[in-house]
Amino acid sequence: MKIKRVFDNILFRRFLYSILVLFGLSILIFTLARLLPGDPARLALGPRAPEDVVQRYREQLHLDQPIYIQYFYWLNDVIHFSLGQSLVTFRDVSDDIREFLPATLELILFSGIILVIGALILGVISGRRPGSIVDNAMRLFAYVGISIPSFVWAIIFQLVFAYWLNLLPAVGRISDNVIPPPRVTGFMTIDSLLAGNLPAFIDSIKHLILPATALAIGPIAQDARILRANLIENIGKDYVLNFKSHGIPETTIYFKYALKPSLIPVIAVMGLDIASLLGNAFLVELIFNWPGLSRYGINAMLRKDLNAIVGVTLVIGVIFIIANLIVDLIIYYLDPRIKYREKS
Amino acid sequence: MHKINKPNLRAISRIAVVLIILAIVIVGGVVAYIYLYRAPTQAPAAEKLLRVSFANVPYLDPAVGSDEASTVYLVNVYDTLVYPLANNTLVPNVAKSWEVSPDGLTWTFHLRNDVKFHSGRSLTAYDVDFSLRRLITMGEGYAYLLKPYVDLDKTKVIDNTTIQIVLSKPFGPFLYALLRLYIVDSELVKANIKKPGPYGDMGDYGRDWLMSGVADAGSGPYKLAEYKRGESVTLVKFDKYWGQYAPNAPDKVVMLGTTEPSTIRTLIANRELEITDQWQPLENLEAMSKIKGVELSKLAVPYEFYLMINNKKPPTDDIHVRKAMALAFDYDSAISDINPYEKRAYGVVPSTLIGYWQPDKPLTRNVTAAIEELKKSKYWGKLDQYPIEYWWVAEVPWEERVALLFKSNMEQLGLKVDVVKKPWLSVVEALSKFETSPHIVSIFVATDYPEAGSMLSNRYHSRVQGTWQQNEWLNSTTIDQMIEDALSTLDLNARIQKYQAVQKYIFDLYPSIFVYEHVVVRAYQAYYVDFPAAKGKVPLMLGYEFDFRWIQVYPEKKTQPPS
Repeated sequence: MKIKRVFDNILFRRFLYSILVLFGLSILIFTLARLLPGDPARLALGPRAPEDVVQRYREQLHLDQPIYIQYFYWLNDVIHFSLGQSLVTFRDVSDDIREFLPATLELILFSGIILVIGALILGVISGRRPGSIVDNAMRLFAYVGISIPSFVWAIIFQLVFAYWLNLLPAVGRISDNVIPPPRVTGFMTIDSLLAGNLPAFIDSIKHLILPATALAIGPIAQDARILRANLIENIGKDYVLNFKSHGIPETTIYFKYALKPSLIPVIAVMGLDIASLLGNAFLVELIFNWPGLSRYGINAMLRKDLNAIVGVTLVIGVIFIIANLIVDLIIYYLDPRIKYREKS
Repeated sequence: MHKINKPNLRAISRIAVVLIILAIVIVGGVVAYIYLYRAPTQAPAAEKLLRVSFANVPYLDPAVGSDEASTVYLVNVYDTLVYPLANNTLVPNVAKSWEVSPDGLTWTFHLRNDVKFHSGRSLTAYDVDFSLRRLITMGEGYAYLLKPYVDLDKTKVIDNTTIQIVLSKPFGPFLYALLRLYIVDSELVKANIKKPGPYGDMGDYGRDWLMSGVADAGSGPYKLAEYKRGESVTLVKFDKYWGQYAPNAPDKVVMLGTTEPSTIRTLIANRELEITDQWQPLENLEAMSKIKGVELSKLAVPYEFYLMINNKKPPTDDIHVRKAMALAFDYDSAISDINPYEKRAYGVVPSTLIGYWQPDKPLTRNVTAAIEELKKSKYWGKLDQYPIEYWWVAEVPWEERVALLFKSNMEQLGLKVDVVKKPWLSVVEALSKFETSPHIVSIFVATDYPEAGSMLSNRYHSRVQGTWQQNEWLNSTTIDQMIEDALSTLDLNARIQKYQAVQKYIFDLYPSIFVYEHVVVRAYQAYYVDFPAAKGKVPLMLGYEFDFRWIQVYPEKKTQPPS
């Protein structure tokens, strides 16, 4: 019961902090978006739209009002589950986000799976025999992985696997000749399975492989290095020596007693990495013509789509907050010292 | 000693092992599947499929879209009263004939009675009337072409096949403007109006429904088959279309919304894209042109690249300074060293336009003459006190090279030029006020119809002062009157003479430096696609380069390797 209460407290506190963070973020981004040069109404309707039409649109969007009044209108919309009209798609931004977010989440989740598996395997192998050929090879991979940005990987993968080998598709979420499943969740893979459409499922997985791997390479390299360093550090600690002196097999010590504490910081970083994939996805989505939120967001910024900029930023903010929360809870579960601190 | 929580450890280890095994099995399975059972990603060979890339996915409402992708969509999905031929003359289309009153104000159109909408309904004059009112009332998209001239109060339907459009003032190129009046199925649109909306009884005028991509409301040669928001639009042939198609016109067209160079190159190499967008960098075009079977289509279009000179700011307020700059600029290097595909511009408007006037003696680089000209300026001897601010648009990287060429050319005259990189939105903002506009800014400007009047009014009329289309700040009632007089002239020959007089007048003021006439370059699969634009056989109006029914696709040739 006590633990449950602590958990409740953590969640409650986190929830309050999150509301405050989102509120602050909304004010900041709302103001910044409006400080950018250019008349949003004119940009939306084109340079040759008659002035009376542009003026009518300004009034419709409350752009003729002071910024704090505009914010009030926006907040009122948010309370009514609307993020305002997009100046590019001319729809409610919340509808756009509903449309585009699942594509990005699917990409990020797939990328996250590759990231977790890749980082664990590489980190464990590398940390097991520091200085070995395998470790050095992993080090080289890590340096290359970290130093090359995801969009370059995207171009390389597209070139090798789509262009030269013609093994995987170059763009989109599903091929033109495959019948797409009816939209239920917006996740092409899940919707395909729900519809029992196996060719669509296979095809959507094929479309996911290149962009998801391109996104995951950098974080895999980074997280594998952190895990390796932690493992080496923990292996050298007194409690491990103690286990060894008691004759506990080395493999058991390594996987059972050294890996767990080594994972804690990696999980924290992984959580943030997965959330930050959203930001990295901007260019990757552009390269693979992936109709996701990141691509929508970058277009919003380039075209000064005020409400879309704020909407996308808030969604990214929410995802970061949720990712942080999940990471904290996992760490809380894995590391008993945090529980004791909370109690005290 | 610290107590270790053993059950948790075991659980974590087991979960981790299971996860890893599961992941290996899934990844292995997928990879094996891809190798062993590769579902075809290419279209079946027999299908006449055409895929084209654009800067964006089109806006699907004919009263909203006016960018390239949207215009291409509208040209193919909607019908218009008149239709342009490759020589830019207009012929009957939905309107089988028309007459105009002697004062040029009342235009009566007689419509065909065999035109069917994609919904199955017959097209009538009421649909034309509804489409016109919808476009002008909403005021977006191409409304700016018709709104200043059409008097909606006097415009009326005479009967099912006759409509009378009344203008508030004569407009010579009115028929060209009608190319942007896309006729919608009024009953279908009315049935999908959302209320309340900004247009009173008409609610949102069916805009949300049209933009949603559920269906189209047109009668054109192609109809909307699928709309993947943010990704692509797919069109299929309309089998009840009243007009003609080329024998091998595509059955299906995919309009892809991407211009990412590496993606486009991959798609072209894999034969998964037939024609590219016009925004590919030079090096990508060169690389694609080396792929077997791929060629470059080069089409001169009526866009002109100007160095817009502020005619009111010192020292460029002095005509001698402007003329000296025009004489000192290296036009040939701007082509050969920077944009080899572009065409040299000699006049105030592109040479492809009806009514173009070319100066008797084209401007060529002559530094000596430029210095002589500069000596006549009131700023001679104190030019170092008047640095010239030159802006180039940050989103168009090659413009920097033009800027640096200009700077180097002007330094030979003793003029100091500060080159400034400016984001497009900042340029638009700054050009809205005289105080914030620079001495020079380089910008491409497009035309709306293939007459010189379009560029003249888009560039040099006071109406566009304070917009990105004019940094000259001419503010000349003489020019305004000359342009308006030309545009209100119904007789084409008389109109052409007036256009030429305006051009000569403007040219003699040296208000701008005329650098390029734009040539649209695209890579296309020449070995199995017959693309009329590659031969220059298309009208010069935006969108008609991709009148899909005249593009021919030969799937049987595609299956054979290109020679």
